[in-house]
Amino acid sequence: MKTEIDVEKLAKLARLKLTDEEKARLCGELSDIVEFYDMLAGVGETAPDAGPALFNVLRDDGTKPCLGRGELLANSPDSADGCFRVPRVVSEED
Amino acid sequence: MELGYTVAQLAELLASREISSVELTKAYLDRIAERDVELGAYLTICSERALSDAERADCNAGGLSGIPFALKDNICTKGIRTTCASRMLENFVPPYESTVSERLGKSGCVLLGKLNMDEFAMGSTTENSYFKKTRNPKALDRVPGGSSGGAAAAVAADEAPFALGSDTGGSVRQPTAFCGVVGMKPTYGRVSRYGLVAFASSLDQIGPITKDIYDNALVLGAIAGKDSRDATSVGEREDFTENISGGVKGLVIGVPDEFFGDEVSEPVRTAVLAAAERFERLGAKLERVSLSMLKYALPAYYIISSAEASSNLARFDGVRYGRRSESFTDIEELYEKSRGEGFGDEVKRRIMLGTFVLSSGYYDEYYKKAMRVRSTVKQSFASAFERCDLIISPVAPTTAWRFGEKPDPVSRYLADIFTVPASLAGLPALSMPCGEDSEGLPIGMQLIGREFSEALIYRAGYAFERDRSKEKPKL
Repeated sequence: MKTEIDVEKLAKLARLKLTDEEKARLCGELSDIVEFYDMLAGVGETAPDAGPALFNVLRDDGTKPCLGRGELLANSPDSADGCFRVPRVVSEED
Repeated sequence: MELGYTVAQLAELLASREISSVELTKAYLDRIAERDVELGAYLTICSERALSDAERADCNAGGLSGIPFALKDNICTKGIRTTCASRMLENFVPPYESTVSERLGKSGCVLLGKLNMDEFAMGSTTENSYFKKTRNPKALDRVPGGSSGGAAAAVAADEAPFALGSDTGGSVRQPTAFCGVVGMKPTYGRVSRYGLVAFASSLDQIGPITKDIYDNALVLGAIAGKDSRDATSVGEREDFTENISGGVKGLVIGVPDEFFGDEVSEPVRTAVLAAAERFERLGAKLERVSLSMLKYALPAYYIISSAEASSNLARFDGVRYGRRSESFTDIEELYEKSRGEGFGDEVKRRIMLGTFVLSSGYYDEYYKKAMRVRSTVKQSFASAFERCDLIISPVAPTTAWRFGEKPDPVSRYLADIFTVPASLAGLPALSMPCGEDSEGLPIGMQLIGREFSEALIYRAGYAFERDRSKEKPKL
């Protein structure tokens, strides 16, 4: 049985604005790909549990020179007064 | 001057002052100007900077100093546009330098430019570039492979003596096989990923693309080794050319049945099996091994890599860098429209898939299961390597296909079947030419080794290449 893909919900979670044509196309393509993923249904629960041996690699907790504000803002589509500028994120009542 | 020299030959010519780096760099820039209109390998050409770097290199000859090279356009270069072949990063100029390009720069190498690729390294034909198509120099109506298609094409067409690509599930190995050059996907951690725009961080690895095996070993030696800016990088600097002519006598080469199944085209099967026999004639022993997890590796790879991609690409939101939509009413719409307009079809598909496999209700069924498969793949290789030193297989089931020939995503994903297992296991894997089909298209074989066994892989590849060159007719 094919898994139903809720394209609207996924697009919302992924912060992607899709056109109607894209949504229709992705609906078919994603369910084909997920059907291909379903091959993994044959993998038993006895397969070893995931994960490489993890350990932390920490740098010294000290200060070092870093990029300046101007360099960091240089690629921003919109900046003002040394900050990234975005639309208002709180409403007037807040 | 004539082009077509290897890096090692150029290094000798430079060291003996028979040519200067300025002359050499000019020759490559001329070649690019003449050839790249048709080929489409380059996205950015750095003529002025290259010539001034070459002048400087002419004052300090030796090693790789003065050798021109090019980079896949997902490797950050300070002050030089780095696009990932995406509309999202069309005007992105990194404020920092990747470790690999910094190391090559310190060695005196001269950057010619940045190379086309599938957008954000997602694809196997370079058709997913926002900017242009790259053609296969061996047959212009065919794809160069991908995602490092521009890099493989540039080296194959003598538009650069060497290039660096990146390989997540085969993106160095498959295009080098399609274009008839040599590509290495090093052990995970061997090369610093600092400055490589992240696609799937647990799989991504930068690797050299060269005309022959010796050059590949030379270039890997120049970029490998621990880097404090990538916590996953390990190992000391190493000279991979040191024992390269040691031969294959006594080596055991594993031939896994599963890699020669029905999906493999006849010319590819014949060429790779003939390559195995050549190793036997050269003194290696062949051993049948089993890697039965192969059929699960591919879906597991696409689940894990898409999951990581959906998370890594969340940073492109139209705020700090990258494209911002021109019309929006609030911050949510700014994110959604900037991303919707900035990303191409394949990138959107992978982000959606990654979001799906990580979403509540599906995480255990897909992502966790894929991670179990990943462990099984590792174990499977570990038991195979108890019986052999190297594993031989095709790089891809077929030779390069024509543009537009594989329109649906699943059929394109299936072509990665032989390259993703080594990626999941973090193992080093080399792609090198071993034959041609009846149309003269290159066939690549893959040599997979144990972790950090690049020197041994090169040794075997070198023995093979030397032996084959004795009988190959000069064209």
